Amino acid sequence: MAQTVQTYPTRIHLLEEHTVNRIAAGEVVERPASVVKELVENSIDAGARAILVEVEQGGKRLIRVVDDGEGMSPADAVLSIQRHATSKIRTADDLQSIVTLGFRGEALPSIAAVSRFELLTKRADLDTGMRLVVENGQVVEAEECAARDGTVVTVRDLFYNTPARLKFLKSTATELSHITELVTRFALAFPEISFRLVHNGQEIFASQGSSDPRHALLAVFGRDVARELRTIDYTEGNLHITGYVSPPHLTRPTRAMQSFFVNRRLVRHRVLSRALDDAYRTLTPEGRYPIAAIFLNVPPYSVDVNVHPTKAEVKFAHEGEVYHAVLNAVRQSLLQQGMMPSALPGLQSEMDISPAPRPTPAQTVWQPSPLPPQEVLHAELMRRAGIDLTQPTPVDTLPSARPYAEMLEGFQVLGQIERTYIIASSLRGLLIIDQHVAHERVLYEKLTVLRQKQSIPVQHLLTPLVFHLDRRTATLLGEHLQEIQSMGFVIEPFGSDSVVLRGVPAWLGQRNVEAIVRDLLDEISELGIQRRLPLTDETLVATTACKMAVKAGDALSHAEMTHLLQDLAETENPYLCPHGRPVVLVLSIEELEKRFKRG
Amino acid sequence: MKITTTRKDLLEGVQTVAHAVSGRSSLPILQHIHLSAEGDGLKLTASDLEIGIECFVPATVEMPGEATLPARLTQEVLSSLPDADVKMSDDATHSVQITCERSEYKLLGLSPSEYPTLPEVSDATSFTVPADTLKEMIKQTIFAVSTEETRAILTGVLVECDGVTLRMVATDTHRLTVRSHPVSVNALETPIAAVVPARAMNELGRIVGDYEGEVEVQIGRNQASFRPVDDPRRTFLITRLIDGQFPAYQRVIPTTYTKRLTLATEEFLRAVRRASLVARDVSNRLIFSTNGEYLIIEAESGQSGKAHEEVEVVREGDDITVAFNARYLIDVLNVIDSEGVHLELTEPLRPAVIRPVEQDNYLCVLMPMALT
Repeated sequence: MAQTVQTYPTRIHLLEEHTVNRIAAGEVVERPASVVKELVENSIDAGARAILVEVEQGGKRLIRVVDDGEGMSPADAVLSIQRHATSKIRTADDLQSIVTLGFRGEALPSIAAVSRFELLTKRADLDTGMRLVVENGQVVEAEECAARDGTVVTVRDLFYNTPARLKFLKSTATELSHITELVTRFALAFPEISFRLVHNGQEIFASQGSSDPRHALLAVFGRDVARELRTIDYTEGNLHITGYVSPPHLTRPTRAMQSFFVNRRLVRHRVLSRALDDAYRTLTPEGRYPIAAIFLNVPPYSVDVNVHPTKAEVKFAHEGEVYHAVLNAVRQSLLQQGMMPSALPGLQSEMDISPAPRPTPAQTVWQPSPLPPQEVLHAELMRRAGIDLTQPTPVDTLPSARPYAEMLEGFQVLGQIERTYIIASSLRGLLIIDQHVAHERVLYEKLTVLRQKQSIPVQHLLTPLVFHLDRRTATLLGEHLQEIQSMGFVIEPFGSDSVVLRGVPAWLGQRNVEAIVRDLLDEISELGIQRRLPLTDETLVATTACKMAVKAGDALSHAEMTHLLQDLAETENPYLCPHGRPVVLVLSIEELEKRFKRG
Repeated sequence: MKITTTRKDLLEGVQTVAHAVSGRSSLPILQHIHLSAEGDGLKLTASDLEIGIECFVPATVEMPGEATLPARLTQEVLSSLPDADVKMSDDATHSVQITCERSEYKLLGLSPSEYPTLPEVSDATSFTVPADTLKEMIKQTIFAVSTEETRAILTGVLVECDGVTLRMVATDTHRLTVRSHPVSVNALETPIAAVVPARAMNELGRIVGDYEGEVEVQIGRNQASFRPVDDPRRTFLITRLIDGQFPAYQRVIPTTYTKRLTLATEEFLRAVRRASLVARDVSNRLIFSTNGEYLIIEAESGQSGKAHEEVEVVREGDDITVAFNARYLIDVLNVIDSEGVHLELTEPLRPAVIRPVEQDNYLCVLMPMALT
């Protein structure tokens, strides 16, 4: 047997260290933001008071993290870039009581393996510092030198030696927005540390590090939002929960503005999001999410952060307790500030068949009926002749151009239910129309056509509206300003983190432009991150149409509903429904007859 | 309670106060009106907690007392009864019996003690304004009130008084109307600035409709009230004020102009109305340009066609091209009584001002639309 082994060369062999590091890097280092995260966490663990993050080209060309922490001795510095070398734990038992952000000893070697890496560090009590340069996982320079107290890590050309990864990096704006999001969240969790983020030499974000969480909130969310946020302070057993949530009327279309921290570590956990959702259930409309920054303080032994190398996911020993504590914490905060009962404007929970406001009988004589008499007559004749009435209309077939013209032929609005659906009759039978989707479709076509002709009527405002944005949104907005302007919004940058709105598309009339624009900006910022492709014009138009359209819950008058259906009947392009949702449901006369056993 | 009055007086009273009854309140009592019989008649009160209206109906009171009646049903019953004397009395179950000739109705009321009492206007400043002036001030400002409920402060009319001038202001961020009138208020320590809900203003306009005397206005911190002086029906309206800071509107009013067009109001209005017919699907955008002694008004829509109107104009300053929403122009031209109007302009995208000729008590600032 032993001979056999010797005869054949081994196929399985141990990998070289730098190969191991590169593979491991794949787990820890996904994108420039992950590098920033690891480095900033190290700085925080090193007791830094001020952390400067400098990036170029969204971190793709350069990431430099400068801190004034305790630094390392030359010998420690050399060790620090070895795998599983750490100062933060000593034995496996220490894993039960982790109080530092890092502990795996993977970050620096992993980063060094996939970039041109330089470490400059000096301990305050030593006279000289140490400079290390690593390329391809190999130390190519190591010298003692003069340096300031603290540590500077410079990461250049991330993924230069792993082309597969390099290919997956997104646009500069997207990568930068990830970094901005990350740094702002650190600023929330560590208000005592001053954070600065500089991109291509320009300051993107700065927090004071004044220890006052309110200053951090102001820096992160901007003045308008920060002013509205309510505090949470709640203790249940050994769980202590603090943080900030927005009142129910201040919501966002996505969860991007929600962050959870466990022992000051930014985490994602479905139990936490669900608890927050449940606390706001019935208070916010469907599809709207509150802004929240929630900090859980739990004993280190009751939470396992060693689930994944990036430590973004955690495991709780008692998920149920955590859920209830967060739910109660948020509810209590909302209750205490008296926001629960009065917070239901426009949200109707019961079925409410409100009759469309119709003219009183005395006036009817003077109101033209929705259809001229001859058309009504024509419609009636068609009905009697049985023309086209027996064809059931499946909503999901791909209709020809003007798909709604036929469906809506001879329509008459009957009313609105739940302030969401328009009920109408037509030659086809009974129609149920989703008012939001219908309007969205109409606006989408209008916008597309008018934009090409450059003739969207614009109404200027007497007093311009100023929007204070968070940094991430401001950055993304800059890139898409022109497209938004082409849709009738006269919007311009106003200082570094504000925009001013001077004019709006005239057909918005009196609608709440402030809320529409705010939602539009959020959605754009969210889309910019989610989408693999850069934002296309089409996406922008669809988003704008969606934001400008009447919402579910808006009461519409009889005339408004009639107008909407007329416009809908004239829409042409059935293939570009912005979100692909059905617009009209038809309950055919035939179907009705069958159901009532008349046939 | 036991009274006798005429059907006509009672119906008029009920109709007057019923405007304050809320359409869809969750409190059943607020669907009712309150009746209180004492002295020489009946006092009717209705309120939806935002506005309250009171009025007096002369009656022979046999037994003083209080009752409530459902507003809508009572109104319907009274308007169908014959025009004769009406007797009303209540019983221990709060039912009110209404007898008129051979008709007899028993309507179910609620306990009158549950009816909310109208608040007092606290820390009030008061002055009087002629009813017709008040009505005109409302008419000339109220159309510019915003209907967007999310900016509550703009859904009301700002009533401002510095002791010598009373001013009403409304804006929806596209246009602004300001109407002033001289008043004299004694010992006014701080200027008044109160925002009255548009609904209350509309009701007030209706109440003072054909009244010819003075109206006493009281403005307090949280409420304002209006009472025609020497009104035999003693009508009284009280309203909650809208909380908040009205935008600094003075900053919006241009102080100078570089071009001024003077037009015949009626002719201008008619031309704008006609041209607007083809501007419906371009958000009512009309384009105005001066050409010698004429103002050219044009509308163009891909769906309906073109309009071209010419109106005689007296022009000071250079030629100009500017676009406005026809609806906004029609609104303001409709409430200007003078024969001529001035249209004052600077640049195509700067605010314009419309004023009646030779009257400096009214102006409307109008934000233009973009030309392309």
